[in-house]
Amino acid sequence: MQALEIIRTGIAENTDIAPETVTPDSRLDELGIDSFALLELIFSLEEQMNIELGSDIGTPETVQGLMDILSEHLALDA
Amino acid sequence: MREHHHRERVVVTGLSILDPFGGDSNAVMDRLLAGQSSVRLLDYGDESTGGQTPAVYFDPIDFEKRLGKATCRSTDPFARLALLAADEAWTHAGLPSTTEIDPRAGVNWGTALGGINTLEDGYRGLWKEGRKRLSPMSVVMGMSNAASAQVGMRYGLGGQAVTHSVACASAAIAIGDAYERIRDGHMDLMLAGGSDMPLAFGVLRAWDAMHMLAPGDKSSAHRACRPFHPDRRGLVLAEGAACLVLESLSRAQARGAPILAEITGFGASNDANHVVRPQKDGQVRAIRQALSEAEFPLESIGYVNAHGTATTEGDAVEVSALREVFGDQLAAKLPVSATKAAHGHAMGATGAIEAAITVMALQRKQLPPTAYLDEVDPACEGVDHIRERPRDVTGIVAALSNSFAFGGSNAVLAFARPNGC
Repeated sequence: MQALEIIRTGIAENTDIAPETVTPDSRLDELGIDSFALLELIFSLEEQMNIELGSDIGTPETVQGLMDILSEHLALDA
Repeated sequence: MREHHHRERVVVTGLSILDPFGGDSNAVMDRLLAGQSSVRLLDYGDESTGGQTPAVYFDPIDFEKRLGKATCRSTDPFARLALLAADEAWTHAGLPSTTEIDPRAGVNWGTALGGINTLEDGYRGLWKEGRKRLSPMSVVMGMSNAASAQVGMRYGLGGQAVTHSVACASAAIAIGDAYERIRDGHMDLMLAGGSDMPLAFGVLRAWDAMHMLAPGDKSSAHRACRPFHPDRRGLVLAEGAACLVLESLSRAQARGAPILAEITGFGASNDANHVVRPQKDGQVRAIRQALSEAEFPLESIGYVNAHGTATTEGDAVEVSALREVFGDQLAAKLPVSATKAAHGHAMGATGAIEAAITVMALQRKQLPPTAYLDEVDPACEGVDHIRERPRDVTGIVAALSNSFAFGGSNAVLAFARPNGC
């Protein structure tokens, strides 16, 4: 599974954002995902993938930034 | 009477009651008037540790559909129920949807157990299922003020968002305090209510240990809670929520709001005596305070929605308190019912449920009965029990709603039919 698909799945589970509107260029704040909502999204992705991204992942501003973090941990195609 | 520099009249312009059997507050009232119970037998826990008890519980609610996923991911069910109750009351009051923050509007919310289901899920996950982590939303879901915070955000209530946790009197005190905030000129509009989802496994076990839950099986569960009855065996725990919209009379009139009733008094006292054994004297003080503030003659009180939880001691003490305040002659003609027989005991929400019922009783001039009260315990005699069937009352002016909590806190709300407003 590609990082974008994983993120889209996580967004679909946690928000009312239509996953098909989520692209690598999408800004998280424009999607309505603030730093607090991002915590829950990352937790959800971690649970889904059975991984721990750690507490030093920074604050990605775009979906691409989040994809990069996931790819780094999972050796996925970004 | 207390002195006030500022004194606004306070009116109820909207209300809601959430009940598992569905429908709006009028549908709930129709069922209460018909003496229909919402109590069913609940299976709880698992095969080895679980049990059965009569309770009032919701079938799964599609919260995501009504509140959105993002809100549901960050809220405990007690806060989601609060949002649904607030939505219904807000709409009922004819208030517009708004994104503006109003510094003259606020919310007071009652809850006895707050985010207990989030806490229990967390403990179960950590201790039983061996999970190492909890959702980062756990803190904001579990905190007791989550409901008032969520309601405040939804409606831009910028004046205050306060949580009252006073066991069974939580919502009554939330409403009473909201009334005083408007009366004294600090606020113009308050949402005041309560919500609780007390059917967590540990909560059921804790109540069970006190031997205060009414027994029942599948065929008898609906009539398990029997206030004032000689065979009463205790209370029935309930999930529930209710909300009142309170406004200053001037604000309500300025926007042409429907005026359902006026709050004319709030009495609060503390037994300061025993953690579970109610005291007549404390209840008398609260009732008298509510009445004195209302400045009504005793004769004008045409209904009392009793606290009436169906405990042996509590029901008798409440009747004795009413007899002392009203005197035996007037008390004998005072219509009283305990609607918990039908809607159960929703803990921190119950004061709001009963306040809403009292308002609707005044509006409709119809008093709900104590369901299944086919016989009155001699220890509970001395008032005019409304038994089994509803009662039409043409000349009713005012009514009281009593809430007496574990811990000894007492709250009495006085309502009147709109007069000159």
